[in-house]
Amino acid sequence: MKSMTPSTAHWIVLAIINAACIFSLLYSPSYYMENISYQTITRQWLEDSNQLNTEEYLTIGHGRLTQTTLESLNGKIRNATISAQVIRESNHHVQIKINNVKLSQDNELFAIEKTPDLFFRRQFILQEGTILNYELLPTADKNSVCFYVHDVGRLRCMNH
Amino acid sequence: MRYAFKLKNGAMALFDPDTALLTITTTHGEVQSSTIGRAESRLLDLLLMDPGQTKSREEIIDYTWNDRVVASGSLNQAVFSLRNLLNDSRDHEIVMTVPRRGYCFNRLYVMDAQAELPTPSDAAEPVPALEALAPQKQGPLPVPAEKTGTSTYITKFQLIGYVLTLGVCAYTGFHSGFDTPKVEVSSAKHNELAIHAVGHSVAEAEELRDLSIAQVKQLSLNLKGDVWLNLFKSNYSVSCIRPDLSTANLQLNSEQKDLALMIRQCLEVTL
Repeated sequence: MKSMTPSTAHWIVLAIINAACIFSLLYSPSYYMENISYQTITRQWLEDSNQLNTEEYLTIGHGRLTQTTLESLNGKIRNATISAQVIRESNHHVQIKINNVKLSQDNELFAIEKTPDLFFRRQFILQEGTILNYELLPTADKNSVCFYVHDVGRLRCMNH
Repeated sequence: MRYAFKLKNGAMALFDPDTALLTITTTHGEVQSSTIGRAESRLLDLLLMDPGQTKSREEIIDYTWNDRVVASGSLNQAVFSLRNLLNDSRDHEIVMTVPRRGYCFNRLYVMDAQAELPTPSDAAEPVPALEALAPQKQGPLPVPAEKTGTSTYITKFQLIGYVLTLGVCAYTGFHSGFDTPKVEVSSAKHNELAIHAVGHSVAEAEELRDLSIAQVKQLSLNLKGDVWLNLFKSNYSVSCIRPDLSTANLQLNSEQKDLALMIRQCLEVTL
């Protein structure tokens, strides 16, 4: 009986740890809804005072992330679609690996020499094989999602 | 039929002659089980049958080696080994040498196995006729051989349990993304406007939050909605969820525009 007491205690501790892990896996709220198309508009003031306007669409689900961007600058339009594989996913984080990029045209709409930082960041994102870390931020409205892309310092809020 | 006896260091021993299993329970409760050699087992069995009674060398050899012809050195070796097992190699208090007569087991060390080790399986077995009970105070109870086996079995299962738990914890940690980069969010409310400053440190987030709140108050803006702010290098990002639940995002250099005006513009539906 003396040796059974610590043994039982071991099993109780193990059971509690496992139950806590399983509970956190099953019941932690996710900050986004799967297979829902989120959208938003973005306005970016460039160094040359031009405005780059974009419409962005985002869908996450079934282990894939798809983001489409329609951008316009001074009457010129360009669209880009990136498809990525979700390689790690938690309730607050999504890590993706870009495996396909489609551009309506290769040339950027803005003057690269005046906004080199933006150009380099886009080159990074539009590279197949690039890994990006999305951190999802808690929002009061479940129909909206806000996230921060660590690798390029991009903050976005989107709704559906 | 099992025999129980104590050792000089206070440990309790249980000997099962049928299986030659010697189980020693230390004063700390540790259980050590070992199967002793056939000669030592037979010798111990014979001596424990009549503790306190001297067994002659011939009697011991006949019983231990079943009438096989063995050299006298074999008995000496068996006694030597048995004393080592019982930690009795120095003063021979347990397995006593009776000069010119033989050996005997000191009955002062013998305990009542039936009384000390009550197990269901023991109930049907005959009680060994032991001549004497231990006259001194009794130490911790020895653990029967079957108990030891169960304890080992549980330990193996516990080991598996630990490994599985480690796996579950690792998977949970992996799933929770504990090793992924994190940003800090510092929030503040001003009337119906909620501002959430995002930074790579708490201080960075709080600084941005205080700056934006101060500018909003300064302009006496009555804004509604949720706004997320970030300063990346020299560029501000302002993302907002408007009261109609639509969203918008602005980006510009920190020198281009006032932060409060950016927040207002982000929340305007006409964007």
